[in-house]
Amino acid sequence: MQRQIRALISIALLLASQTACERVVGLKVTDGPVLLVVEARLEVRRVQERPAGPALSPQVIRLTMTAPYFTNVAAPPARGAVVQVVDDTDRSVLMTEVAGSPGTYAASDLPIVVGRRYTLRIQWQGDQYEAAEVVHAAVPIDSLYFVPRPNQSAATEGLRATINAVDPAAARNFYLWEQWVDGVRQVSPDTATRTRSIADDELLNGRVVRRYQPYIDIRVRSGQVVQLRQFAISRPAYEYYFAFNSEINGDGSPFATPSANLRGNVRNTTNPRKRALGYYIAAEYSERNGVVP
Amino acid sequence: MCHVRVVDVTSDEWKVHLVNVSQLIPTDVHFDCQLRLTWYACAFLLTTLTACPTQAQSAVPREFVALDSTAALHGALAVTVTLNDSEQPMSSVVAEIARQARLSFIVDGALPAMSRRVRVRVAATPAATALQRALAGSGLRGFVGPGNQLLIVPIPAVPRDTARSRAPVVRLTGYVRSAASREVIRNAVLIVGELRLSRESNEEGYFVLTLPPGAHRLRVRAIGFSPVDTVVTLTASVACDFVLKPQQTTLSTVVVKSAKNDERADLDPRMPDMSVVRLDMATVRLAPPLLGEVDPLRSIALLPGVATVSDASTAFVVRGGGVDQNLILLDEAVIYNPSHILGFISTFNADAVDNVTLYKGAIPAKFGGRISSVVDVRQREGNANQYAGSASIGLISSRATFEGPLLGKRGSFLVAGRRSYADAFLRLSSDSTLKDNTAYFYDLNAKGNIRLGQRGALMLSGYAGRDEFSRPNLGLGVGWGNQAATLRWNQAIGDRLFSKVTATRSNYDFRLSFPFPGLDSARWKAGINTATLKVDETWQLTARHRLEFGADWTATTFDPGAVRGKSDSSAAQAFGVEARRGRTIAAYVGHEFEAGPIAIRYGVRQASFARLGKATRYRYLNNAPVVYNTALDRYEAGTVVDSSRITRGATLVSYDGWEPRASARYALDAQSSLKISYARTQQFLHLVSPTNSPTPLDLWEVAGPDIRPMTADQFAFGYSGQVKEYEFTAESFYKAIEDVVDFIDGAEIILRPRVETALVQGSGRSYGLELYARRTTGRVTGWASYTLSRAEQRFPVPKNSGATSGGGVNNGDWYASPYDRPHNLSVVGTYRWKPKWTVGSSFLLASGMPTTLPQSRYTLDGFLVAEYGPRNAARLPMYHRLDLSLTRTLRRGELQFGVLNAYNRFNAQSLRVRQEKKNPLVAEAVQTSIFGIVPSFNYVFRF
Repeated sequence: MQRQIRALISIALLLASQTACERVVGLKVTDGPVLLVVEARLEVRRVQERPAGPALSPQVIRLTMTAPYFTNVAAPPARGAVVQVVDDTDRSVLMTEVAGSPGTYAASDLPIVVGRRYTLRIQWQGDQYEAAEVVHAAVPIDSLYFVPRPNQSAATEGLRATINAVDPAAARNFYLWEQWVDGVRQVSPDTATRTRSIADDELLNGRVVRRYQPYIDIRVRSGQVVQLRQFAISRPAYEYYFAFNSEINGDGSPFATPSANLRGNVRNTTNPRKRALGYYIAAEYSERNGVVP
Repeated sequence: MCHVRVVDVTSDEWKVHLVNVSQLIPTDVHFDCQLRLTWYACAFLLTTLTACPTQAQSAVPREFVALDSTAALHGALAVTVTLNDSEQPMSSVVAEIARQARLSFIVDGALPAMSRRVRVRVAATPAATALQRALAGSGLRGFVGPGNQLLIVPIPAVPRDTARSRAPVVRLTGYVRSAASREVIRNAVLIVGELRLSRESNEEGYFVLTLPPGAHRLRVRAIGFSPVDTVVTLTASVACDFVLKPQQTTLSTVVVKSAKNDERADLDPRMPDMSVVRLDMATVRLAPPLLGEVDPLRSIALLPGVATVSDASTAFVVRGGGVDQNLILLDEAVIYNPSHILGFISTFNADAVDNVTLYKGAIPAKFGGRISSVVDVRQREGNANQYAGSASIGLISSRATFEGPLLGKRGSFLVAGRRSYADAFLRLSSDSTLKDNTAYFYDLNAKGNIRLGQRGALMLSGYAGRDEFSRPNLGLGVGWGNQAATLRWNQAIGDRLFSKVTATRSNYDFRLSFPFPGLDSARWKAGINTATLKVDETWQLTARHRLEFGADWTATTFDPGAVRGKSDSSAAQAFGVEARRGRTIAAYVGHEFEAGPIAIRYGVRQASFARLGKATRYRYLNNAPVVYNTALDRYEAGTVVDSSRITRGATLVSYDGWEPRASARYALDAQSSLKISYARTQQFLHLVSPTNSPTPLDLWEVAGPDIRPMTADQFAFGYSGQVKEYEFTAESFYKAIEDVVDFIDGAEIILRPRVETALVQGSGRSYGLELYARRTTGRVTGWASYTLSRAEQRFPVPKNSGATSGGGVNNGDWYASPYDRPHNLSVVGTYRWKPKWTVGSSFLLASGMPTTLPQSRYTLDGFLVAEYGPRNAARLPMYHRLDLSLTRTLRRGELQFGVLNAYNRFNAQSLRVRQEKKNPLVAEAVQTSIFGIVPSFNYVFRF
């Protein structure tokens, strides 16, 4: 919710600072040390929503390295790492590097169970990295439908993917939504939607949430297939995405937050000063699919 | 009461003289003197030295001397007169002698001795002798001034207690006022010539001069007013107002043209004041205004030691402090967020403001609450003589003022308003979405004051201002505003004590409405409310000793507010953060004295702050509200162990401390002095601003169990001097600040219930050299200021938060503060090109602000993320800008054209790196600037 306030404040402030102008300039920066970057989100659909059968969906993570800022090439993959996921029953699953896709590590026999703690262990270039997460139970999406956004005007007309859900009163919940339209994930650097929709339930705790539009700016058209996932994430994961969003949103205006380093939850147990970047998240989600009428 | 009259002007030569006298004593204004001690001893006399007749010779005395002691008669006194022996009133006799000798004289015609009938018989006798004979035995005595002016005053009664060892002193007290409007003139300088004594009228225009009886040459100066150069003959303590005539009543822009150097005391080498700069509105108007809005706060940024935060903001930092460390007072009421259009212009309407004083060091003990500076803004009192008004049209707003006398000239009032009209244009738009938008701000200033007898005054001042922006089609609205009110009672008690009792109330609030998914809309409302009661006393002990003391009580409620959902169905719950209540009680005492070339002002302030309930008090594991995770190199919120409720009015936590202040000057000669000062200051609140520069939506957080107040210690050493029409100051300073606040990277600050879990406290230090030169006379006036300084801060990991070593921002080492500008030069000048045309210009040159640049990059979900190097290790390109204005004086107003950033410099406000949208693998560096070339106009009409 606070993210929304901040984003909206930014819009409000932009109304007043339209004289500001931008210019692309040349810049030389010094290079920093090479660090490991972890993109690991272990995810599982709610048991109740899963198709019958024992099949587990494969879990995939990606390991890359930092590069000088203006290299302008894809991130160099971190190859040859030994990746292991251990749960609190001491069951250990090895994730192996996918052939033909360097830096991508996958496991097809890793069950993710709500309430369990999963520890990610990475051995890479002589250092041992570790991170742990507890899987929270996802709140089910009760229904997915398509209605216009409220306060409609010419600029905002059209339909939006809309959900109803019931926030559990007992716990503090943190949400993350991902949306696909015709199989394309909506949040990406080359689209208008650059930040992930996240929320905490401080305003809506324990309530029936109706007509919620996680991606209020994504207009969907008739015939499109929409897939929406609602993740239950941990507070640290929520905070990570919050900081990630403000970093992406930062426009250098006087009203933006100052640039700051993103700090995730993966630590180097061998050499703490040589930290790892990125995140490790383990989460359950609820999913709904629909076709825009 | 007595009325001093200027009598008998017979020659053209003396008419010149009279014109000067009448400048001092406007014919419609009675020169009111109030007598104490001896009713009949009205001995307050005025004449001018400035326009002495040309017959002045070497034998002419430089001071007033008794008539009977004049050795050589000369000029009119030597002219022979003849009187017959008829018995006449003394006044007729003196008048007749003066007529025959073509002599000008001044006497209080109401004196009983003047109506006594006397008989004088002289034939072809020098006028001096004739006068002596007439005055003999009358209890009156004649004095001759340097210009042969004759004064007749009563002979003072001989004090009975002749055995008193101390030299007798009398006091001259009163107000300095404007002849045009009867408004008090603050900080006018009174200089007693032969004693080399210099005093200022205080911020209410009141002065006390303690002098030995006798004649004193007295000069009274104030910026924008014709100086009074006069001789005062004192036989008893007397209360009297000095009335100065404005130099120009119509054109503010050129008021300064013939000002004398000693018309303001802020840089005066004779004063112990240090690190003080005063800006009157005439000076503020010198600088070309932004968008036609003359802005006192923007002008402050042109002074030495002051740096701006952003081109988009009037926020400023003083001597390496923070933006929240400046106490901004409007008629003594605190203004928390003095900004319109998100800080682009300030809330101070130049038409309603009289002057602005900036204290950036050696802050007097009467001010407290902020550690870096005090900006004391005083509103005008209004014209007490006649109704007057003005209206002006600018590029973004229009202004109007109206002022006039109250209760038959016993008081005055001023009402001023300002409103922007961007929304008027929006409404004309054919675009329906634009049409519905709201975007405006307004200011309303009002002030009224009533004189209570000769020596008291009651003042009520109010301010209300607001900004509103809304885009209903987006369900978005934001509005904020300040309200302030001051009620003050000034009273001179006896002739040595000046007392002020002030009650103020100020309020700041903002509202933000926004669409909230799942709800129709949500609304966030927050604010601050402050009430203050204070007493300030100034006690003039002797001519060279002055005591200041007082106390104040402040109660403040900071309400971070609540977000309420507005919904048709689910009626979402409100989410709020509990209000913070604080109370500050402070008392101070200060002593100022002069001894030869040394003047010292020292004092101490004791301030105690209590955070009051009702509130929740949290206890954290290891008493650490934030924990540093060394392995992950990040701060995390601490774990709450337990919490307890503090009932209403009970104390949650309290802090108190002594704030010693001292400043001294050593006069090298009459024109220059060395100054030194030390001040400790405390601040019990912090601005919660997670953005690059503060916005109106930032809230204040009060000191609490886990947030310590800030303290600062500042030392300064300086030189102040005058050479001809140039004033010059050089000051170097060192300031150390403890417990400044920094927010944890990426943390949510807004509506965070326990802010202490997202901040760390560290230290700041700054040092520098400031040079300032000012010229206030001639066709070219203005100033130049240069600051060479360094501001740094550091935030080591708090002791109890778990770090073994290092960690925190820049590993806990010193780094440049966000607004550090090592070099900062500004030159402001106006040139009186033609009688009706004035050219104004200001030029700024400053080091670029610090910035943080990336060292490397990585990719997360396709997004390029920067891994930054050391904080604030790089700098933006150098900042420079030239602003110009051209003002044409009209018969009843003026027309001003301005151009900001005349050569359209693209000044970097920020430098950021980002991912190209078209090619996500490619990064680019983007420099943002706030404005290019901006033209403006402003038309003022006075009536």
